[in-house]
Amino acid sequence: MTIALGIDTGGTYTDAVLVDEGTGQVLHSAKALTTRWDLSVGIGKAIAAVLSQGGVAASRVSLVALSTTLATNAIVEGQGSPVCLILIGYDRDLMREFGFEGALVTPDVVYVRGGHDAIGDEVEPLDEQAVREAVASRIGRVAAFAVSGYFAARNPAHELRARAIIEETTARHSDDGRPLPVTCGHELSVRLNAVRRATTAALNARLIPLLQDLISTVQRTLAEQGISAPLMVVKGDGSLVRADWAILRPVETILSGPAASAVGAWHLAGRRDVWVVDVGGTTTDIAALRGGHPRLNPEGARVGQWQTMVEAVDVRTTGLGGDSLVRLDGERRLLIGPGRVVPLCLLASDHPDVVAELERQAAQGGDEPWVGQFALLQRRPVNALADEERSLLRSLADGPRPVTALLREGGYPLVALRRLERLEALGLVARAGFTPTDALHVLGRFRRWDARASVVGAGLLAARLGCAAEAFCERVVAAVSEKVARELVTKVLADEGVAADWTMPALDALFARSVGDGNGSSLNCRLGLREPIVAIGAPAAAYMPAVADMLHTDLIIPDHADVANAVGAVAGGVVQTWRVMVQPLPGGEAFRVHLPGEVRDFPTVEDAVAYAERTVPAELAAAVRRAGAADVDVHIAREDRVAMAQAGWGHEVYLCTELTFTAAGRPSPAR
Amino acid sequence: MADILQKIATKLYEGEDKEVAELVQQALDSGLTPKEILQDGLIAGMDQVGKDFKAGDLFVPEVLIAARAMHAGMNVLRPLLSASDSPTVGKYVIGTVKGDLHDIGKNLVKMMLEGAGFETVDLGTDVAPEAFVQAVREHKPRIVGMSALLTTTMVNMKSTIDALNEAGLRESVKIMVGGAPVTAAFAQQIGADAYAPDAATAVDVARKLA
Repeated sequence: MTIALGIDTGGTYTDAVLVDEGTGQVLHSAKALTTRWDLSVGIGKAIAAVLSQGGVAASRVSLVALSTTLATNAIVEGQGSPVCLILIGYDRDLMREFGFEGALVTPDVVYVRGGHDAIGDEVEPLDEQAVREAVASRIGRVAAFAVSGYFAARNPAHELRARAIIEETTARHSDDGRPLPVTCGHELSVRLNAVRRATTAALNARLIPLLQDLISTVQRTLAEQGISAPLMVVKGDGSLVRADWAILRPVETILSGPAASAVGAWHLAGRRDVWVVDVGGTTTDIAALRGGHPRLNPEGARVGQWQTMVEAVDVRTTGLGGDSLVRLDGERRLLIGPGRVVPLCLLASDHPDVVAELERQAAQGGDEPWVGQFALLQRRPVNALADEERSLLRSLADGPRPVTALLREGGYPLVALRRLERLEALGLVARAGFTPTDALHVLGRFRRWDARASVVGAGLLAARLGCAAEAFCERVVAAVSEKVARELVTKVLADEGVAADWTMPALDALFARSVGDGNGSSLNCRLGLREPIVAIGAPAAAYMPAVADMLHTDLIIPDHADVANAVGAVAGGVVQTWRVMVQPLPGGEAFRVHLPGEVRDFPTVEDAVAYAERTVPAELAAAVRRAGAADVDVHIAREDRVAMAQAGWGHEVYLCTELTFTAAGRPSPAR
Repeated sequence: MADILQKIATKLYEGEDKEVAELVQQALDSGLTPKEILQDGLIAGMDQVGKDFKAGDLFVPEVLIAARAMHAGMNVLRPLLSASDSPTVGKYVIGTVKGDLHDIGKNLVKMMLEGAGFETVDLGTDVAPEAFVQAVREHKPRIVGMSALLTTTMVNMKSTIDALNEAGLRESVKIMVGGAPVTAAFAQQIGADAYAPDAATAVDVARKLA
């Protein structure tokens, strides 16, 4: 029996599972807290836990697959190494006038002459000297290069030449003779939009050193545990690639968590056409699974402020989860999320004296928004801090303290609050407060931590609403379910090309009448979701049955739903897709095929297609084997784009032929 | 007073360019504002031309002559119209695509658009995709219109859209296509926003897109 080890680093937990590769059965699972500042710490703990718990010999593990939020988080938080972006044949004035320079990720941008046109003809020769000089002046100052050429999606010749120059120059100047990594735009997308290809290439280059660090740390951890199996990484489309390949294409790992969860849902539930709802601690992610594959976003994934051209799972993420902060606003309206905190019950199981403090606050009364909240130290600062910030950190050295006390000591409460929020943003301090997880503890539907703190915390908020703690908790749970249902409807509409504007009173009222008791309305509204919901994530069972009722559909909560992402990591195949286009040249006398590495002309469309079908499959199969696949299958899809001319104007008009080559295989056990 | 505006509209419809110019001058002398003359005289007349052309009561040569009369009137008014007076609906870049020298239809659309209050930028005929990109960059229009009269040059409409996509400008403009052999299905295939079968419809479509 061979065993696969799946690992997922989520916002709150890092999960590890052992899966029997033959039967697909989940053998063991374990969780450790995600260590955001160094993901490998949490990964190491989760691996050690799952191995020791299962008593499984490390030598039996034949495959390790990792889905990681590293790339997504690094992009959102603006981390990464300094890189130089070389743009070939771009119109600098146009880039500036339309504000496109702000999309280039790095401030270090070099414009050089060159580039092609829509049919792949050279507009101007590449200014090789300019490339050489740009590279030479950046030796020792950048960690990687990104290259993007105008219309390189139609002819990559200048990008490839620029890469050769960069590799040759940087290798000559490096101690070990190895060149710096170079990312070319055409390798990441062959779609048109020179600005977005540049964004994608620059993001990719910037992430390479980060992912490289993580991969080598994980590989060391695996070696320490005695695991010699190959390490693979989940891409944003749910498929796998070998770690050494992923290091060169880190941007393709964005959204790998949601993609793995959709694949895991398919694997565990055995259903191919469903809505996958992953309720986590920090966020709720919704994705469509169609035909057993996560539906991808054809526009390219948007991460943080960047619109990339990475075809990743089309996921809708909301800041709503079991650990979302529950609070009341000035008008005593119930607010949940988007901020994530430490649940009171979890805090109290490590620090029992917070219960007494909560009781003291309850006796005292008070309606500041932060009543019942605590701050606790997370880790030592590495950056310089202001004196006030340092003293705030010092005051937390002996354990968590109520936010009310910190704000009293900090001078003006709002200034002190902002100080606290800054330390939270730096990851030095965490907030604790009442959460949906606490509500479940009060209601007895979930018992892992200290429910006493949850009960008192619920009482604090309930008193301000003038209701009992249990009734308040029911309201919180129902509100989470309703919010998830609303997000699901928003997602369905978005996939159908409609933006749901919930600020429209009619829309909001119809939805409320549909999911609620109708408010005594004469309208009988009913929303029905055609496909079933597969719910995964630890708290799914608490919130999702009500969601399925509201939307009148079936709910599947598979076994091991709490570790579906880690299961999804090992359930994916190795898949690579290449797109090839044939288009007519002016005059219609010849046809040009745009291949991944070259362009070639033929007298007829069929000759061009035949050439592509003869040469591409072998090259693609070789590439997908390098990406870690065995038993490779290549599939070709052909679409001829033809439109009829107006009647009386003769024949049809041939526009182009698009060939999509997809190679898929199972992960190879070979290292 | 209203008589003279009615007269301008009628003479414009009849294509009497010299008379239209004279009437516009008379209207100005009698104290009418340039804006009134434009709106209730010239544009009113051109609107009727568009309606009758669409209905098949007028043909291309008549429309061209009416458009010439419109221009004659505009030449008198233009120096007097302040920026706020000119009721510009939006900027419209128009041209016949690369390899194609036909311009009658394109000119017709352009004149009708001007009659409807669009500010047009005419790139002429045989316009390369890069020239469309440069025009969008320079003029930042609301709409780009392309014309092709040959099945062999229709494909250059796609090349032009490709070029706008590559430049990152596709989302900043709406694209309309037209010309005798062009169809709605073709427009959809190449990713244009709209198709219009004739000049009068082009104006309606442009108004919706603007």
